[in-house]
Amino acid sequence: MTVPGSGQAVIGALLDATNLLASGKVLVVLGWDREAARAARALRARVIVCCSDPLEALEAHRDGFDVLPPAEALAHAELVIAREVDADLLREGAVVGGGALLPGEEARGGVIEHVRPDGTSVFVVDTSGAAHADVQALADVTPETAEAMLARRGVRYR
Amino acid sequence: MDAAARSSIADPSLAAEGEQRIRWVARHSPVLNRLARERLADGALNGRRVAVVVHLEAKTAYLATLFAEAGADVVVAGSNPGTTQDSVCAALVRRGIEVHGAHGISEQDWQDDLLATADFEPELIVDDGAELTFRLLEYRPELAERVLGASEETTTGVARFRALEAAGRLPFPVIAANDAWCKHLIDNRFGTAHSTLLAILRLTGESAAGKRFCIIGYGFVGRGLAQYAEGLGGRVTVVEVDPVPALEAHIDGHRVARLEEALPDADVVVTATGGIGALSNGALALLKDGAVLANAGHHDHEIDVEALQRAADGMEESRRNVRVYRLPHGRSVTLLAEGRLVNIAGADGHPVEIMDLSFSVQALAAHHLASARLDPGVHRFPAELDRDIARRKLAAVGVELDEGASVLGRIAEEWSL
Repeated sequence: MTVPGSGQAVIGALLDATNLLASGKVLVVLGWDREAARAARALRARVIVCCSDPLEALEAHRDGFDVLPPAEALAHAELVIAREVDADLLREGAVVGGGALLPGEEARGGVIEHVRPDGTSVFVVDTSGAAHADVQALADVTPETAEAMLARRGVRYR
Repeated sequence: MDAAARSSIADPSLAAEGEQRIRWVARHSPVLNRLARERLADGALNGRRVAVVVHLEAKTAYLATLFAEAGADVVVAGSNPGTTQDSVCAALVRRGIEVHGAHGISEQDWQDDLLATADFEPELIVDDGAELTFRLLEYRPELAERVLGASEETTTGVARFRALEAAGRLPFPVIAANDAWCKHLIDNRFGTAHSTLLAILRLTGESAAGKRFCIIGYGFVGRGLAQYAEGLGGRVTVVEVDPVPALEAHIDGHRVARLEEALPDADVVVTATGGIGALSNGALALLKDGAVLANAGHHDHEIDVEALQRAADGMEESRRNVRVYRLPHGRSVTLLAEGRLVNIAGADGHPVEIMDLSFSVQALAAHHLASARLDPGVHRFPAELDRDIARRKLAAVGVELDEGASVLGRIAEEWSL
């Protein structure tokens, strides 16, 4: 199963490192990561999803997200969640997390400033260590362990 | 004597890191950079003595820098020793600004810092929780006549100033910056909630999904907390003593309950009343094993930490800002940031863009106090300045509005004929 809440660690790590606000910002999720998109939406970002698979694009669309090709989406993006990213497509000042890395110098603790050939900057946060213990505990959940977890939480389901 | 000699800070060698943090704030503060800087440049603050006593981290430092740039003599102190960042203090001193503050100092040292700030003989005060003004009036009453005015950042502080005014003890004008639209509608609701929830997730190392949140207090902070927690998959119960916000919470779709019903199944309890003793001795007995406690209000005393310490058999600090108290009968509860404001004591505080708005209110309030000569008493932040701030922020993010009077404005005009 896709663990509900599994996108919160990466979104949280990006915002913690930058001290930036998600609410009202355009946040692009590059590659369909429903939980990251949902976490960003919960923090009131305007989320755009980019995915190459039509089924995933349809799922994202049906989940209420804007869907756009990467070049168009990234032109608007203030925050980006991506495993890999083409720095040339980013809007000036964009902040990227989610695994993508770009070379540069530290702008503040945990935030790397990448200066492009035209002199403009984009920023990267290494969120690769971001994980929540409760999400990890669900990684290989079985019906038996699920039963135990539900019981521990006092949740009855039948 | 230069600023460095007059200052009392922890470690000047940390300035480079603090400087990075302040520059990051500058990069993300379009309203301060344009609107506030333009208004302050008219000379109204030139040579004025300005005290800034707000949580002493990078956003506050940037506000202080803008006052200094406008020609003011500036002194800065922290409004809570738990939230002071030593690197930022060092950077401010390097920028030539007098600072009294260090992280984690005792109540007595903090008091001394605030009195040193009062002894700077400020003419304008940017206050937080009325912490400086209260001490100035109490211990340095002879300095009050020099004060042109103060502006106040928080709900708690505005309540204190109104109490002073009602008692006939407020000798100068105070602008309730907290009550500005661009402050409480945005900062309290979105800024506090956003940063509080993220701090809780980071410090506990857990997601919000499926967790039961008990939010105590449904003011602007509580509303934002409930909204964000629910969005992240949490289930929210609101505890509120005032029937009107309680009704609002109910119709917002939240469970509303008394504390004793809400606490026993709460995974995370967040106090947001702005008062003290929201989670007192009796309530602590109701908490379930593993419950997490965090505070989002101004006071360190919303959660009765002393009662928790007394009740506990032992305490273990599992990491910085995370303390696990062992209670009788095998229960344990986790207290974040020692009951201080979890988003500032346990993280970097409100998002930069939120403080761009709040501190634009503060900057324009200080400017207004310096130029308008208001009567003693608590004053509203001028509505036109509020609109100017909102307009500049919208312009900075590329949002355009229709021109012309609002429908309500037209109705008011027609009915006043």
